[in-house]
Amino acid sequence: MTTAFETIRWGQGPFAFELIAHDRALAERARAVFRPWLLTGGPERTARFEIEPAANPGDGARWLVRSTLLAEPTERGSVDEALRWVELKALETFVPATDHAIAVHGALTDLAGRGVLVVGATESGKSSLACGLWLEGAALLADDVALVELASDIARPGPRRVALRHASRALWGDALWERIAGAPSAAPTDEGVCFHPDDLGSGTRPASTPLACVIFLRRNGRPAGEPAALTRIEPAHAVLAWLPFLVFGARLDAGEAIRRVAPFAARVPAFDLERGPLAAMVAQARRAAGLET
Amino acid sequence: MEASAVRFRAAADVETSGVGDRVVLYHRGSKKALVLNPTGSFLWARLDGPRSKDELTGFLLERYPALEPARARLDTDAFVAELALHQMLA
Repeated sequence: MTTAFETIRWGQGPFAFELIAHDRALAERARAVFRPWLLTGGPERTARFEIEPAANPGDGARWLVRSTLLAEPTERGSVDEALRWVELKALETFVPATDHAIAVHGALTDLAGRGVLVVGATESGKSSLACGLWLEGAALLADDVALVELASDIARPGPRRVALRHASRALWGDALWERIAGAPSAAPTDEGVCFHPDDLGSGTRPASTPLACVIFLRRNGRPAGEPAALTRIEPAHAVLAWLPFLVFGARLDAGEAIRRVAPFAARVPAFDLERGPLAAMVAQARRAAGLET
Repeated sequence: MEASAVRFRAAADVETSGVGDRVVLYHRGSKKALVLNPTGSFLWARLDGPRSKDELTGFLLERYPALEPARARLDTDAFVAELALHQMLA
């Protein structure tokens, strides 16, 4: 008797992950989930995961997930749940582990070679604006976490699928929602669906993008302005605007974060964008990126 | 000691980051941050050693010759008061 397994390797920037799949269907599914970031070589492994059928499934759990990030294995009820767990754990290592980059809670798009990073709190509308840009032809790279290389202003997407909430279905329409839900990489989540935008034939997305601007949505402490108003943030104030959105910021001292972000904020323009009709916000985002006057 | 003889300097536990013509100050103890305008940033750069308000006012008048002395003194007072409020001065 032999034990068959496949190793799927993926990563982004200085991070590389491996998943050992003890099931052919699981391996195929994992390749669809991690397709944009699959590696054949690349950097040294950051973490390893292993998913196998649970020997003694209990309480409906059917898949056992082990990881070098965990002391004890965890169980998940389905392949999709196990892979979403792996996605999240891999993302959690996507932190400012070097002096050269920071991880930011934001949505990343590429508009004709110009990177637009949309930053805001949960439910501030990051995904909606990013998807609005995507439907206008931008590449949608990430809607959750991006890694920004501070010396070069290059941004890379966190290796995780884009997630849409059920609440946004009316915004996109049933036809598009059904296409998204039927995409090869799509999987249901508690709140909606996650997928790779380029599964829908929107072209190949770049692995990274040079940031042309950063857009903050619904920043705390600001009085509401005119709908879809775009306001340039003075660079020194942009440094402070960044701080709440640095991922896993508790591990990064605020003084250190300020030092890292300051040169970047002096180079890359930052804007506040007020809520408004999506089409108007998309036009303003394109303007911020220098694509419309 | 006369008020005009009191000398101030940047507190040791304040980190300074330059961003364009402004500086961002971060106090490691209180974990508070402050952005100074270009004039404040100019004065902050002169607080690497002990300075009195008279000296700081003099720096302002050197930098901005058209500034009225009374106005320069008011600006200095406001600058020192703001920084003291945030424990940025020693």
